[in-house]
This record gives sequence, C-alpha cells and structure tokens, in this order.
Amino acid sequence: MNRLLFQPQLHSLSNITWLIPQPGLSIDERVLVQNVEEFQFMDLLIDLTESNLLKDDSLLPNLNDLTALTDPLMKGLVLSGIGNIHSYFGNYAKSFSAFHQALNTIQGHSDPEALAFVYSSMSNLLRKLGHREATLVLAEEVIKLSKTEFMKWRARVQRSLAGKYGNEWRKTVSELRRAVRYYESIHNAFRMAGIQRHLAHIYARQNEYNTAEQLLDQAENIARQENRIHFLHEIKNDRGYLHFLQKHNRAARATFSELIREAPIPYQEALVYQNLGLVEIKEKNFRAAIACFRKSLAITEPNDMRELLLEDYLRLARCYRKIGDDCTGSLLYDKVYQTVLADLEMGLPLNSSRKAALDETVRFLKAHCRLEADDPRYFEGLESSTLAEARILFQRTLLTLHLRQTETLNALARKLRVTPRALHGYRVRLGLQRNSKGGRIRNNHLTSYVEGFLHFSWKEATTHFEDDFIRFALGKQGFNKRKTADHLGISYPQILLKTERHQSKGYLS
Amino acid sequence: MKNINSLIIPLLFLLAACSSPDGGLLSSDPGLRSSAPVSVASAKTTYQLAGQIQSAPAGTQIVHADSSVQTAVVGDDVYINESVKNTVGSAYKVDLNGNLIIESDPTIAVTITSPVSVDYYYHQDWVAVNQDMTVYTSQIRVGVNGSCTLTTKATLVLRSGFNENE
Repeated sequence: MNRLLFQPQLHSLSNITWLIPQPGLSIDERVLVQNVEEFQFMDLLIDLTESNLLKDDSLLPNLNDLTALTDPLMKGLVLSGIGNIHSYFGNYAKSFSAFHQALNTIQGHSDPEALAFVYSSMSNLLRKLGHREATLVLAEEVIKLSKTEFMKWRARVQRSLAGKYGNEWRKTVSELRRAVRYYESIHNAFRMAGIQRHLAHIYARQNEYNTAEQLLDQAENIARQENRIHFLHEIKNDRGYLHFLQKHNRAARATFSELIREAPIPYQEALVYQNLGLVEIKEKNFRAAIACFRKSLAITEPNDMRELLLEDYLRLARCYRKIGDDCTGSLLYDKVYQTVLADLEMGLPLNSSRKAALDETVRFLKAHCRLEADDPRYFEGLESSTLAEARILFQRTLLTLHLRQTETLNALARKLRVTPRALHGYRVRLGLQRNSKGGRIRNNHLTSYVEGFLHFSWKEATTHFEDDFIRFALGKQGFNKRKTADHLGISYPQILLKTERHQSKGYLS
Repeated sequence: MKNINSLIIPLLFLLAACSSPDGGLLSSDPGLRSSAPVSVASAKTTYQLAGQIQSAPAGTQIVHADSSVQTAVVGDDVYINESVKNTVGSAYKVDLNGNLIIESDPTIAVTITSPVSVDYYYHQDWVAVNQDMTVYTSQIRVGVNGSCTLTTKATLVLRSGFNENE
C-alpha cells in the first residue's frame, strides 16, 4: 500500500513515521549490520558522542554486540546510526527499515534528544533522495526537540542542503557559511570540511568553478590533517566531476581513473564508474560508456544500492539506444520501470528525477512495444508502396541498425553472410555513404519489426520481409492476386510463386 | 487449365532457383541485380515558414529537408520539416510564434502544447500534446503545424555526480 510521504497535519511526535516509507518487510538486525565497515562504526560512535548521546563508548565494543544490546534507548540510537550508514551506502531499503525499527524501539521512552537524533538521520536520507518537503519537516522537528546546539545546527544544515540546487541557493550558501563558523567555533574541523564540500557543489552548479575549487582545497587540507581517507576519496570524486562540468574531459577521466586505483568503498567506486561513463557519453564513446555503467551496475545491483541503481539502468538504456540496440535498451528500460515501481510500493513517492525517468521509460516502451507478427502497423505508411520501394526502406533500416551495432564492415559482412564487396554495393545503392553510421529511422513500428531480423542473413531477412509485405498487400487488396501484383509492381507469376510459398508455410488457407 | 498450371508451377520454381543470391525476387533487388536507378515515391515537399533563428552560437546549423546543412545565423528562416541543431549541444525551445530560441541550460523541462518532434537525449521521438517531458536536447524539429509552446524551467534531472553524503 502506498502511503503519502508528506502529511503536515500528522507531524506530531507519535505520527512522524508517516514521513518515511515503510519497506514491505522489516529487515533483520543481523542483516542490517552485515557489510558495515569498521570505519563507519567508528564514525557512528563519534556521531553519538558528538551528539552527547553516548557518555561511555565502551558500551558498544564492536559490531557483533549490537544485536545483543538490551537497553532500548541505546539500541534505537544504534539502529538509527546503522540506518545512516546504509544511507551512506545508498541502500535505502535497509535505511528505512533501520529507521522504523529505531523509532519503534525509542518511542515510548520520552527521550527527545534520542528522537531528534533519529529524525536527523532520516532527514539526511530524504534530503539525499531529493524529498525536500519531508526533509524540512523533519529538520524543523529536530530543532524543536533538541536542547543541544550541536543537534540544532545539524538540522539547520540538513534544512539548507535540501535547497542546495534550487533557486534560493544564495540563502543556502549564507546559512551554510553560518554553520561553518559554528563548527569552527567548537573546533569541529571535519564537519566544517563536510559543509565546505557541499558549498563547492553549489558554486560548481552556478558555474563559479574557481570558488568551488578553493572550497574543495580547504576541505582536502582538513581531511589530510585528520587522515580521513574516505573523505579524501569523496573530495577527489567531486574534483573529477568539477572537471567534467567544466568540460575538461581529459582531466576528469584522469581524476576518476586515479580514484579507482585507490580502491574506494563500493558506493564511491560505483559513483566514479558512473561519472566515467558520463565523460565517455560526452565524448560520444557510447561503447566505453556502456562498459563503465556495467562496472557500476556490478556493484549497485548485488548491494541493492538503489540510489545509484536507477541511474545505471537509465543511462545504460540510453547508451544502448544510441548504438542502435533498442532490444537491450528495452530490457534496461524495463528495469528502470521495475525499480521505480519497487520504490512506489515501498511508499517512496515520485520526485522530479524519478518521474522524469519513468516518463522517459513509458514513452520508450510505448513506442517500441512489440506488435503481433502480422500486425499491419509494422507497414504503416507503406500502403501505396511497390515491393521494390518497400524493400529499399526495409533494407535501408536493416543496414542502418547493423551499421550502428557492428564495429567493422568485414565483421558486418560475415554477420550478414555476404561478401564485403556486395555489402559495399548495398551501402552505395541504399544511400548509406562511406563513413556514415546509418541514416535516421522514422517509423518506430517498422524499426521494431526490422530488429527481429538482426540475427538473420541478408538473404533470409529480405526473403522474410518480402513474404510479410506481400501478405500485407494481399490483405489490403482483398486477397486478389492480380490486383496485388499490379499494386506491388511485380508480375503475376511472381506473386503466384510467393503465395505458393505462403501456402507451404501455412500463412494462407 | 490444369495442364497450364502444371507447366507454370515448375517454371516458377526454376525461376526461383535462378533468383538473386540476396533473396530478392528476380532482378528486383537494387543492390545487386540492376544498375538502373530505382525511383522511390516521395511525399510532396511543401515549404511553410516555421520560425526564425533568434540566437545562433557557434555550431548551430540548419538541416534542410534534403539533408543539406547550412550554418545558421540570427534571422535565418526555418521551414517545417527542417531541423535546427547545435553540434555543441545547446538546448532550444520553440515559442508560441514558432521561433526557435536557444536555452543556456542543456537540461530543461518542457511542457508542450502543440505537437513537436524533439531529439531528446540522443533519441528522436514525437512528443504528445500537454505531455511533460525532460529534454537534454541538441535538436528540435518543428511539426506540421509549426507553432508550439515550450515552457522551460531549470531542473536537475538526475542526481549529480557529486558525492551527496553528509
């Protein structure tokens, strides 16, 4: 059952769970702590300590002890922290499950600081997923609940970041700069560096690349001083993307490749492969882009990193379309559809990016839906064509699709089982000139029909097409063979021969 | 009649055996058998003014109906069935009067109130009336009725490549 994400009248303490989606099944605690890195557990301890919620970190000696915790308040806090860790990994099904379990554990213990911590974690995830309204409600709730300046500032930062790419970016910058001054005043350099990184994103988005670069430099200095390796990887990724935005593709590629060699955590690695794919798309190297997105998919799919998974499917679909492989494109669009559907079933409403992805998917699938083998729509627009004219269009479309997919002409000749010389002859005759990767294709149904012949030889494909087209023409002429022959511009004996073949195949009674 | 058929059918199979190696009917395949030009019926081309180039940064081209290409300058007329494209990937919109206007932001969301064909993100397709869509476009082709309205707004379509972790 879908639930509305944003219900302002319901944001009393007892009903705040309405603000986050409920995964279909609650994920077991032991599964939630699997694959949690040691450094992230340490960050969780720091997080709880900074928030003044963990007086004695010996209470949480290692990851294995988390499930054995009996103190409900502490357990709720840790579950919330684990939810945050999965947000960091991009696996929001696990995050939402952890947050729900955290709220169930904490609610009833009347500890506003603990609740504020959970809401703050939830707000961070919803902000990452682009759900601004819910982020704002949760952040405001944290500001109301918490008595500590640290937690209030954390919520203010979430509130500001929710609008970082919007029209009010100047206001966001101003608030974030205030936060930087606060963290500076309490000597929390690491949080200060985190905000500097987000400020860099905003300036980059506004094409103020020098300012963005300076902010990343400042963040990097802090990360080096504190020896935060994973944070350094994040900054390097951001630098690569900054190069990409500036159209410095070579520098972007070099930065991303260097980062891959430094073996970042899986989430970061997948993001870097995606970014490398974007660089390749920009340079129109679609096959190289496909290779990059496939590498990202090899990480995001098994780890259920839904935050990045949709982008992998969508960008792969686009790249396959670009190289003319609409069949694989269809399969990938179907994956996009299934992913968005899974989100909706979980209760996560469509935001602008997911809606755009869904719109694109539906449009594509609608245009490329497979028709029945003898559907007349395949030959729409060819009703008045002779057989020779229709054959030219068919062969031109077929060769265009092949040229887009096959690397060399010799390989294509082998695939079509013709000589390279004959292939050259076809290209010249069909107007697919040398160095051309094929013409434009207008009739989506015809394209869909022709795709069915991509694994046929040239001779087989043409024969099948002629059979189908003559059958189509016969239907249009009331199965009058003489009229059909006249219409198609072929002789009566020729049509007799063709219909003889149809009868032997059982097409005609 | 029966006798005639008994002669025709074997003759047809004999002809089939001699048909072209590419599967086409006798001498009907333009690729191998015939050197004579094959005429293809083409729709009558009508020239109807669709719009005018309002801005033309480097790389802007008009592609005529016969596929010939012309470098576009401000003030150039664009006719129906012609395309305007920019090799550097700028985005365009077509205003109420059919004018082509180049957008600075390559990611624009548009609401289309008249039929228009848009090359959105590497793929050409027709867009239905009143359908919201997102365009990363390098090319817009003006439809049969020419004028259309695209309202644009800047939007971040997919997540950025920045690491958005806290």
